[in-house]
Amino acid sequence: MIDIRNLTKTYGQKKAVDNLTLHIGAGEMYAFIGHNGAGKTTTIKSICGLLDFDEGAIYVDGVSIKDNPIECKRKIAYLPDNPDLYDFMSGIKYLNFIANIFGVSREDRFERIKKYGEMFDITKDLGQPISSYSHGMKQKLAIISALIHEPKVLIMDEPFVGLDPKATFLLKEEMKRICDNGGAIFFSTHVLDVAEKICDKLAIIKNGKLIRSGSMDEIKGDESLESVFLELEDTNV
Amino acid sequence: MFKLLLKTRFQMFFASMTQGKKGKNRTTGGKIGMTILFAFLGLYVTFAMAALFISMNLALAGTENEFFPLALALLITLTLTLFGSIFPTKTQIFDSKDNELLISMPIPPKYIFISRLVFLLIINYLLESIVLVPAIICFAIFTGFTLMGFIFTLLVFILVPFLTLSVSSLLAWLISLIASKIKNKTFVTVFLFAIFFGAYMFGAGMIGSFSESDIVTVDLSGFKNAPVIGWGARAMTYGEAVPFLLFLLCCIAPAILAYLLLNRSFIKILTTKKGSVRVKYKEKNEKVSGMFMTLVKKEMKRFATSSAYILNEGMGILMVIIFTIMICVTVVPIKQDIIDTGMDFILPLIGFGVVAFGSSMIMISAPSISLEDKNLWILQSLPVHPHSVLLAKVCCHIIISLPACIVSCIILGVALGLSVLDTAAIIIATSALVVFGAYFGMFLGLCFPKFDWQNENVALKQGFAIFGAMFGGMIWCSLMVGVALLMSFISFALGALIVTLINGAACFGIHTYFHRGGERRFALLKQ
Repeated sequence: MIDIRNLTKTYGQKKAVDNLTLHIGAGEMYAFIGHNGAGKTTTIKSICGLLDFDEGAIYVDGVSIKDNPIECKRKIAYLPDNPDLYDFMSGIKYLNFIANIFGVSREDRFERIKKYGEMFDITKDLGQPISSYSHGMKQKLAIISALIHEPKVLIMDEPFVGLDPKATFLLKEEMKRICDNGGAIFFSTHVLDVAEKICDKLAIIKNGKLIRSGSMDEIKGDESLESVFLELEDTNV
Repeated sequence: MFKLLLKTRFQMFFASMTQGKKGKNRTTGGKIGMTILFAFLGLYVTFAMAALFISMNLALAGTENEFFPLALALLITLTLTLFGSIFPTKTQIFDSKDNELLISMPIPPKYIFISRLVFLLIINYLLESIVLVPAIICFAIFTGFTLMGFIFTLLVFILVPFLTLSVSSLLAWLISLIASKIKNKTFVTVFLFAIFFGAYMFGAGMIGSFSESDIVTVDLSGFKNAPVIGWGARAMTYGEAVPFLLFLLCCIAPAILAYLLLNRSFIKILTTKKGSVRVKYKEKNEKVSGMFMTLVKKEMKRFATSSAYILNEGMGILMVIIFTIMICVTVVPIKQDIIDTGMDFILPLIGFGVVAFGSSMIMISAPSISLEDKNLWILQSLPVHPHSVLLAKVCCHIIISLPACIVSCIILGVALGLSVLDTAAIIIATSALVVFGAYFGMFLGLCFPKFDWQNENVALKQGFAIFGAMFGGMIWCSLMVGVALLMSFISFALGALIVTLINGAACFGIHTYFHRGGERRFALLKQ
């Protein structure tokens, strides 16, 4: 579903991502972990077409993000680490804005707004301007906007930051549902417990280089993910 | 601690002047350029004021109206400082970004409040100096002060900013209070601004009429007893104590009232959760729109929900209306004289020129990329072509500004008695200029975005895109009026056609760029 081949992105002299190759298949939930500044956000933004990259190629469902970014973006839902939404809109206007852009039918959007609004307990606040929302509410609205068009690929940067425990649980359930329906999820996180419990596969990045990737069992074996991660962090790359 | 707070305010103020892109300090060349620009503007206004007061003093020295230049100087100072400080006062005192940070620290709120007032007071002194200093110097040279008059002049200079600051503080407090109680804040802010702007235009009109008319023959004695300005001018001119005491009372009483009222409620205003009217969400089938219309509506909403956006970039629309009224009042009565002198070819040109000039001050598209800033990721991550985003912003500009321009053209066409052909020519040429203004502003906004702002006013008032759109638009407008003027000797309609073609070609060029290099540039913004 997502095919990253030899991705290299340089900021000035610094290689933020260095020759990274990764494949995320349909139905897979892939966690992406690494220290601060390792290159996670750069990789994620490159997949979503938000960052131009120097070398390599990225394909989403077989379509190149460089050659056909619009077609790729139709298949993707992107959730940034700090969702700055349009403060001048109300929650419902923002969801409609996204639904209009993705061409979601009137019936589908009504049904999905009702479903996810109730699920994340935000329905009563949808008429309010986004400027009055707390960080957690903005995060919930961003999640609903990502789910409203039923994406094939969900790419998230630190999706659990700012969410309350119930919303975290519901998001994890929704992520599982997307994967069960043949979608693919790629997300970065610092919460190793979550990655360990819900992900099929894992990639660890350090100083822009992919140092380990594969199934959870292959990477951690009998150890905890935390100890494996800390061990790998101590090795020189 | 107080010194530190004051120093911080000035540091913030100068940082906003000296910082360039991404919060980095400007280059030395940039700093020199900014200094030269501000020095030029300051000197330009000062010398313009000096020229006005020299001519007035020369005409009135030794007459019973010799007080009048100082009365006028006080009127201009009060108008300038009051008009210029209501919204900065509101921003500095009630809406300052560091309010929460400072009140969370062990700092007495009184210190925070007073440091803000002192900062504003110093700014008011600077504004006052531009007008009052040349007025005082001119008066001293051409008319001359008495000893008491000179002492009172110094005291008046010190007192004036207290009056304007106290009035602007009270008005700012009132605006904040009203805005916190009502749902449609944007409407109230724009409405209040329109009132202040109207008062300012009225004041400016009065000042203009004084300088233009033969002031020696006009009876100005009524100004002698005019509250504040008359009392101040008499104290300065003749050294009269009673008018000075009245002036002193007018300055000090509101200052004490404002200080007591605001100092007591300052912390309460900042810490009270501003009660906004809660909008209840009703589940319903929302209206479905196409992708492009969705983008246009988003831009319209962005414009309509920001009073700062409306007031800064939509001001040209108001100017188009004002210019139209001015032409109806000043030119229409002498229309027959113009026709009788064989200059009737100039009438459609006047109609075209005023609407075109007013429309060149509309800059809605220019800051729209800068305003995306933190939200830019949304448009960049959505499956929309960048050129659609740019064209939606252009369309928003056109939709908002074109109706007022067309209506003004029709009114002027009727009022000036133009033929249907000439009226249609004005409408078409003006429309072409409006469309070009939208494209040109968007082009500059795309090439020179400003993403280093904390307060949206910075994106709306500063940066090359804004200056370029404003001055470039005016220069372009002048060129187009020049083309129309040259062609008017043959036919105005022909001139309008050429103007339309030139603007059409320029729009086509920019439109093509949006589809090619512009797409790439938009995709790479903020990288």
